[in-house]
Amino acid sequence: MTSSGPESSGRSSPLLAAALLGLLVAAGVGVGAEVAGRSADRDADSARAISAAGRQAQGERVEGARVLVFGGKNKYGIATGDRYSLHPDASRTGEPPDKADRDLAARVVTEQTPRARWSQDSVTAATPLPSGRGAALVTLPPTPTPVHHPWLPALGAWLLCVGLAFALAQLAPAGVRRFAGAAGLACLRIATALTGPIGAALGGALVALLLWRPTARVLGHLLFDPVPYYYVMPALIGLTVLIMVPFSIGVGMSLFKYLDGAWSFVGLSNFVEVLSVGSSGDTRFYWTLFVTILWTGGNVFFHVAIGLALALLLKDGVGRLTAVYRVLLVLPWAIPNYITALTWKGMFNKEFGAVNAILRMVGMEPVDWLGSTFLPAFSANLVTNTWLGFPFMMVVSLGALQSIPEELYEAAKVDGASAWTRFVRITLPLLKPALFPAVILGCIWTFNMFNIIYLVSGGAPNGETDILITEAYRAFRVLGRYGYAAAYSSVIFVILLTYTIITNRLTRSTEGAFD
Amino acid sequence: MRKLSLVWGGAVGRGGSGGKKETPPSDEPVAKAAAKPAKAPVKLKLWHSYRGAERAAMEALVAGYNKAGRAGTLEAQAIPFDALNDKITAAIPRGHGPDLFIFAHNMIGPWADAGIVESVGAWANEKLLGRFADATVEALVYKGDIYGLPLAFKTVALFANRALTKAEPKTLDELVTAAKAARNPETGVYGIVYDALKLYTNAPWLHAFGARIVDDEALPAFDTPEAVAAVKWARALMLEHKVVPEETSTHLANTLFNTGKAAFMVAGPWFLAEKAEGVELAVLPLPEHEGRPAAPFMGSEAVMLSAKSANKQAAFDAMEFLTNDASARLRWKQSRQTVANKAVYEDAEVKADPVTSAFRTQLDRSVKMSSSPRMQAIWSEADRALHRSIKGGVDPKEALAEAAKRIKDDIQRAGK
Repeated sequence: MTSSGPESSGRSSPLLAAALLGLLVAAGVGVGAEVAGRSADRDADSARAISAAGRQAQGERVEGARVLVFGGKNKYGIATGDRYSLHPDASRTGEPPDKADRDLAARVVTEQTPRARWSQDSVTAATPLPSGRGAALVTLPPTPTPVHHPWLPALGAWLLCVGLAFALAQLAPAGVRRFAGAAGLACLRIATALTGPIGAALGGALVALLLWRPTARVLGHLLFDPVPYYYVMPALIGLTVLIMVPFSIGVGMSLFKYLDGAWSFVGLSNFVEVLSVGSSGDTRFYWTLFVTILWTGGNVFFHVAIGLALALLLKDGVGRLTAVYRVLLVLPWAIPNYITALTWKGMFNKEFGAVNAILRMVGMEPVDWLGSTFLPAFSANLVTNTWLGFPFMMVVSLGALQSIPEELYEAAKVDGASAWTRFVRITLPLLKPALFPAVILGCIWTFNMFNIIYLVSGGAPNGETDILITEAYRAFRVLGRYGYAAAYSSVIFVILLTYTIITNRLTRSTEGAFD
Repeated sequence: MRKLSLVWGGAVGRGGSGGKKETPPSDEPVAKAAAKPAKAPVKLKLWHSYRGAERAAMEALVAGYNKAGRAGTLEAQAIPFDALNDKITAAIPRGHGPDLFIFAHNMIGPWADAGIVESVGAWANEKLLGRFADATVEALVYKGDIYGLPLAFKTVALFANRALTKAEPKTLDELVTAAKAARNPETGVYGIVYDALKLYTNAPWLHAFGARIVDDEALPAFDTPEAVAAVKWARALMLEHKVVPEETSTHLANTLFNTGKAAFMVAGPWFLAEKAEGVELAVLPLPEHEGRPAAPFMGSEAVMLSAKSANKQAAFDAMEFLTNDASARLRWKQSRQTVANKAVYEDAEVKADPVTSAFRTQLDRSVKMSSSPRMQAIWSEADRALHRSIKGGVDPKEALAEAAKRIKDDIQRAGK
């Protein structure tokens, strides 16, 4: 950011970030569509294989033959042996034949498309076929090999074309730019022919980005004065591989629905489902959001209050053991947090836990911490995470406190300022530059503090102490709705991004970092 | 009974004459596979999560298979149980997974739908499947195809600490009486311990009262007066008779039982490996209620075939070996595994073992878990409902109805 000064780069960097974000999302969508396309192809392939095999396998018509076929979503007709067929009276087998979708069964069987691989002996009766319909069983050749798009080589070719267009646009003198643009478009058209509409969309986004001035400037530097970029390259590669790629795939996934190993594009409906109040008046998202904010606010308050108080104590020293205390107080932070969480969960046990043992000892009624009401369970989570979180704030505050010059306090003392005034007028303002970024960071960490909620209260009672990230996990893990979970996570990301931008604007707390 | 004409179109190829071409598969596909190891044996990978004696037994079997000169050679890899499910789900679709893996049948639904596990219907015939107790095979059938061959079954049963109780309760009422007799607040001895707020461990009570957990389509069916009665009974154990501690994880239950603080425990065969020295225990089948057994969920632990295996024929040969009667005997001998093979339970030595016999009896009084993908949505909501109604003072009727509704909503939204 040299030529146009800090001001213009300052203005364009959010735009640049937005454009990059858009590109990443587009890439994610592209990958998702590719995957979805491939599974659609696989289905089409097996459909072809089935119909080919079906004609080949035109079986003799068997009047009144009985075959057991399961209905519902099942695409295939399936016959089973009598030992494994579902006897109407055997409740333990789960699905009795009267529930079978007879029409589907009959259709599948007459179309010669079952995927039955049972030996002849084991095929027996369960559901009678409607008369006039034949039955035969085919077996398909082992999993038909899916036809892959040659999309990697195509992508290579396409990148080459786009790169060429860009180089023309960059290198050509101003008068020839228009021609270069046309040439670039031609290249893009060739690229599109190779990669299809998704490639075109991606290409369009990329070309727009490349021709856009700030990007062009960065890329121009990259071409003509690349040395600084070499220095940041390792970090950039790490960031791309570890954060950008998973992030863009995640955002892309949020536009898809996953079912039975296949992805299908659903647009924004996952987001609509996350944010809308359900048909049953289920306001879970907003309650969870409220709990999450309460959780974050409560935690950060206690983290800062306890951390700062301890830092003030440790700064002036508490006798000969100050150094030992410093180490001891950092320990909660040093222990893996799931171990701490499980330990606290044990301590909150109603009958055998240490917390209630202490309460009994001092003559109080034991509390049903992880039981049936919101407040005790929420408090248990809060106490656990406060234990985990204050050392970070303490370390940050301690560092900042030690950098405050002692003269300020002495001068204030001379002027007759009380200890409280000195704290409010000197300590707090000078702590601000160190503490605000720490608080922002603390909020983001706490907002997504999955381990504590999941391990201590587990959402008890009735999911009321769940926070957004544990709900997203539930969608992902328990319900297997990967697209929906991705949308949930994207919503969390947007919330945190908004929060960070707003606090940044209000406090200008990270300003120093960019100057 | 007339039989279908069976036409193996795809397998036979294009040369078939259509019409009446009958090419039934060999009655002994396994023998055939084993008979011609003409090429060098193929390398097969096996993932399992066995520990301790079960792991040693599995490794002994693998070594035996590799020496037997059959179609393949096995390489077994033990993976922590908590990670195995995720590893299988993530690795196999990308082609990095094993050829074979061992897991309980309850994941078959999701894995079959996602194309992770391969049906063995092409190779497994009646004769081969006849080795196993029916229930263990039935559990492996999903949408009419069979996935895997059963190694063992796992159910919970009633463990009794003989130092604290000599009772052999036949009914739930007798169980309550015996538990109350053993309960001693002075010494901190409880009547019965188990993970009292979970569906899995409460399922026996629901079944004993005539309730069902899920219906034939794996939708929740616990929204019934029978289930409410069962939950009320379970709540009374804790709050009225005070024979069950209020918050018990499986881990805490094990500790209480091992330290002589619990007369009875509801637990599975996996506890035997954690039993403390000196605890004199008896394993009893769970009691009955009005003639209905308190039937626990049964999990059929099976060796399954990866859909991405490059050597399915050889892999099935290994599956056959690992599950044959001789292998099952070895697994029982070395680790007292509750194996799926019927023949093993005919052995005098096995019959004489009271623990194995109790679990064998329990198998006949069990309900197989559904392997439908819908189950994933059911467990946690049902656990919550039990937590609320047993401990949280919420009316069981209301909690169960709400959970059932929520699960149905979840399932409908997920499109499953």
